[in-house]
This record gives sequence, C-alpha cells and structure tokens, in this order.
Amino acid sequence: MNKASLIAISRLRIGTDGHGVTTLVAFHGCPLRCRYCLNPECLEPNAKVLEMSPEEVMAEVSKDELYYIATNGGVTFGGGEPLLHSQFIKDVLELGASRWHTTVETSLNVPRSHLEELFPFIDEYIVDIKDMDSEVYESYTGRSNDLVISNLRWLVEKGLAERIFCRIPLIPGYNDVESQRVSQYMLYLEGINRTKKFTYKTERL
Amino acid sequence: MTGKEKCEFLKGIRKRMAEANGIPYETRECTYEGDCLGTCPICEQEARELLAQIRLKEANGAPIQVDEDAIAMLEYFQKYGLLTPAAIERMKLEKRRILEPLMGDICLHPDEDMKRKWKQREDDEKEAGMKRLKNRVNLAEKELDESTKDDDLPFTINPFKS
Repeated sequence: MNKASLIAISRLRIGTDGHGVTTLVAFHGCPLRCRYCLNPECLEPNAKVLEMSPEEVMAEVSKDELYYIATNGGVTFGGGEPLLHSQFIKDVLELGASRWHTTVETSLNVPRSHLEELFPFIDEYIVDIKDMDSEVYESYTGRSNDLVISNLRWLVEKGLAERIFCRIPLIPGYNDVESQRVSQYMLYLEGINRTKKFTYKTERL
Repeated sequence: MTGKEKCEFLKGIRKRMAEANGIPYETRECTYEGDCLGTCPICEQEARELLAQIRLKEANGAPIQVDEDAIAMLEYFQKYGLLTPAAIERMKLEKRRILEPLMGDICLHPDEDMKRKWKQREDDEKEAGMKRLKNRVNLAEKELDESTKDDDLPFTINPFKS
C-alpha cells in the first residue's frame, strides 16, 4: 500500500476538529499559500514529516476507539489539504476507521475526482471557505475559488449540505465584517446553513 | 486545557463506559505530578483493557452501551475545563435542567420552544443580512449613477441627447 507524508497525528483532541473526542491526522502539502497559515510546515519542502502507511495510521488512531464510541467521536483528516490524499484516506477508512465519525478539514480547492472518491465515507466536511468574494480569496490564498464553489455545489446537489460546516474567517487586511456577512449569506443561498464566523490569528503562538 | 485536566476527563469517560456496560472498573491512582498529554502508559492500558472487555461482551451478544452522560461531560468539560467537585455539581444541576426542565425554569436544552426561538433568530439574521446586501447594491448603483452623470464627463455619451 502507499505511504503518505504527515506533519502530525494528534490524539485526544476535544472540541477542536469535529464531534466528540477526535484524532487529527494532518497531511503535508497544500495547494494554497495563505498568509496566516496555521501550519506553514505543511508547505515547506524540507519539513520533518512522518512517512506512514494506512495500516500504521490505522494502528495509531485505533488507540482511542473507546473514547470515540463514548463520545461519538472519530478521526479528522486535516493538514495541509487532506483531500489531495483521497486514496490514502480511503485506504485508512476501508481498514476500519469508517466505523467512527469521519471528518475532513478542507479548503475544497481540489479536483472533483478526490471528492468523488471519498464522499460516501465522509460524515462531516469542515470547510475553511476564506471569503466567497473571488478577489479576496485569490489575494489571500494565491488561487481562484472556482473549484471551491463548484465542489460546494456538487456536494449540495448530492444532498450532503447538512454535512457541510463552513468556517468564515475575518482575515485582517483582506476582508471585513461586512464581507463575512455577505459570504455567510451567499452560502445560505447555496443551501449551506451551518456556518461559523471567527477571526484569524495573525501571529503564531 | 492542560493534559492533567484532559486526563481527568478521560478517566471519567472510562468510568462511565465501564458502568454502562456492567464492567467492574477501578482507576489506578496517578502519582505523576507534572503535566501530561493524557496518554501515559497506565491510562492507555486502562483504556485498552476496558475496550477489550466491552468487545468481549459484544461478541457474546451484549450490544455496547453508551452512557449519555459521557457526551454531556464532554460538553461541560469544554465549557468549564477541569471537572472539579464544583464543576461536577454545576454539571449535575444543568443536566437536571437538560433532562427535566422544571415549570418556569430557564431551559438550557434545545427543546422545541428553544429551537423555535433559535430558528426565529436565524431567520431574523438572514433577513437583516438580505437588507444589508440590498443596501450595498443600492449604494453601489447610486455611486455608479453619480459617477456617470453627463455633467461629470468631458463629452456626452448619451446618443439620444442632442
């Protein structure tokens, strides 16, 4: 089986990445170049990474099965951009991880084929939408949000709107509160009701 | 949230899962005084052993029981942090309210009445958002009109104007 580069496997997370007690599997690599990226090591070509197989990841995440059962928690795939590793994630889920709550933290700025491969297995999509305004999005991330919008619509058309939770950040220097509100409203028009507005931290802790 | 707080929380989850599934369980006392990640060998072993016993029972036909309190604990842990005796008391008090809202009490649980209120608030917010959006569009149109007035231009662009 294939191996993936991970920046971390963070266990016993509570209330930060989806429902219940979760284990975050964080992948290296991202198509975006966000100025206030929380995990810039994802972008460094020489970053210290863990090369792991799906079996190794499964062995690690299984350690907390008791807590997943007790709290309806499970595994969250993040990063970086996890959907770029859709085949790897599918392998982990097919090894048994799909019996727990499965979440991806994604920008959705990936080719549709990745979503098509994974959507039957994913319980929740935490989407960092940045801003629905294409100019704001592009100036902040360096990429167009055409794929994001198109993937969102595809998921909604598949009847999965309830599984989508969009995070709408206030990005200092890039958008404003009004822009956040407009993004929230535009998402509502797209059929997405689960959203949360918050402010990006601009300094690393 | 410190590792110690997390450790206490996880210990509580193990205890409740054991009780819910009828498994005798006693947590071993931790003598380590520093902070931890909630993943020390003793805690790991306890969780492993407990899960093995629960799985054994399941294999013998007893479905896994989940104590709803564990999920309530998770919510309160997020809210209050360490489950001190005072926090547990507060949790019990609020849990009583959650499960058994009293007449005239302020219900903390999203019961039907509360759901309706939340829905109303959401609708109001959406309506307000729509108004703000319309105002922005009107303002932008007004600005556009202002900036394209014939008087402001060095020459006329209106073909119907002589």
